[in-house]
Amino acid sequence: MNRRSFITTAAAGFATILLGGCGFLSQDKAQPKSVAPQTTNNIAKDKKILIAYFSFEGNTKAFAESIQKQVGGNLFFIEPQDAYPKDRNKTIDKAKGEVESKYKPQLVNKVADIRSYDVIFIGTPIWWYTVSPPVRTFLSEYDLADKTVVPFSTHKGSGLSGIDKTIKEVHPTAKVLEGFAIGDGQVNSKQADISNWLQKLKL
Amino acid sequence: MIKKTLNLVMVLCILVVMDYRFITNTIHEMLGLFTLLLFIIHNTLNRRWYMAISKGKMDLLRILKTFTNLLLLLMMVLVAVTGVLISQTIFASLSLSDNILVHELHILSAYSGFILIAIHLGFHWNELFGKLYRLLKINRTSSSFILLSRLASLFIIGYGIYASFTRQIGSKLLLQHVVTGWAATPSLIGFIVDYAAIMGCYVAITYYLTQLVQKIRS
Repeated sequence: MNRRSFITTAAAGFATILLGGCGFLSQDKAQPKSVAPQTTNNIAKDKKILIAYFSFEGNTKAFAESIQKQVGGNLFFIEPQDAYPKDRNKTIDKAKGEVESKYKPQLVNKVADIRSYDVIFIGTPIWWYTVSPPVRTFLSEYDLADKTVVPFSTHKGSGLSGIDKTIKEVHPTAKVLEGFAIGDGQVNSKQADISNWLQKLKL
Repeated sequence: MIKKTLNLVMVLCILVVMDYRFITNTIHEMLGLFTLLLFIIHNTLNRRWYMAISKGKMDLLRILKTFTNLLLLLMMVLVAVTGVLISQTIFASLSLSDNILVHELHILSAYSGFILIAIHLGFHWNELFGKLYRLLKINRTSSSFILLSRLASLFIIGYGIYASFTRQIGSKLLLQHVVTGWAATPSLIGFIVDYAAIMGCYVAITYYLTQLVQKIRS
């Protein structure tokens, strides 16, 4: 009797855990993971595209390169004059202070004639729930009025973190399209999702 | 029965809503709101507890229970308010999303609330499961039940402590920034099993300490 009750209780507990998972598992499966990357170089043939990004650990760089491979355009690395420390923890601390004070570090390069581009992709790692400081500088340095802007991010859990809104705040007349966020270390395994997103943008 | 179903659904919701990385932002916000609704209903159904708070004798156990509940209420209010403020979807217009402190308060109140819920469950374990045990005709004084339940508790406490370390619960409570990669795709089942064990760990410890206090007193 006792053993049976114990088994019943255990089974019930296990079932609830499984049930709790079902709804969200199917959602995960619904993502077209296995779709082969299509030839998407016809996505925006007639458009001049800029892909500007900052990257610290290489994730956002990989994401930017993947976008370039699919839609073409020019890559631009948003490089701060003072490089961040190689030591991750030091950079995390430094970044916290910079994000808190909305600091805008000086950048090394300038984009030549940004007004000539039709579409501007802007990529950033999410640092302390928002855009990384070099990208904040980038956003403030150029006139993106009436341009089509596409945000993308890499992150450790916080997704796009409302960076589309941040861009909109600085450039109210820019046409900000739906952004895409990828977890750190997952750019390679999400190539199909990147293709789908780029297709859906209808540039 | 309605109350108990509500409690069970609420616990499940909390376990799922904590897995922000897996369920992603929009579902996290919706499920968080739903959990808040359940929390409000739970408080309304048990409003008599608030009215009786100043009545009757206060002993050590009651002081601890009252303290846990009030602190839990505070954490739930805090997690809801900060959650609204950092919302990206439902309350996006109110966003204070670039304020780090609000994010930190959200994490702190969520994790301490999570542990307080477990302690709250531990205090009420007898009320919650007494009826179920009677219904299933489990003799709680039989030596085999005691042995089995203690073995199960021991296992849950052990695994819960282990999971507290692997899931870095301490760092989250101390607001230390935890750097974790995404090399592995986040899994909901693994998360729920670990967090349920962490919850179970605090439930069991609270339950046995309560029993101990009562035994000493009688």
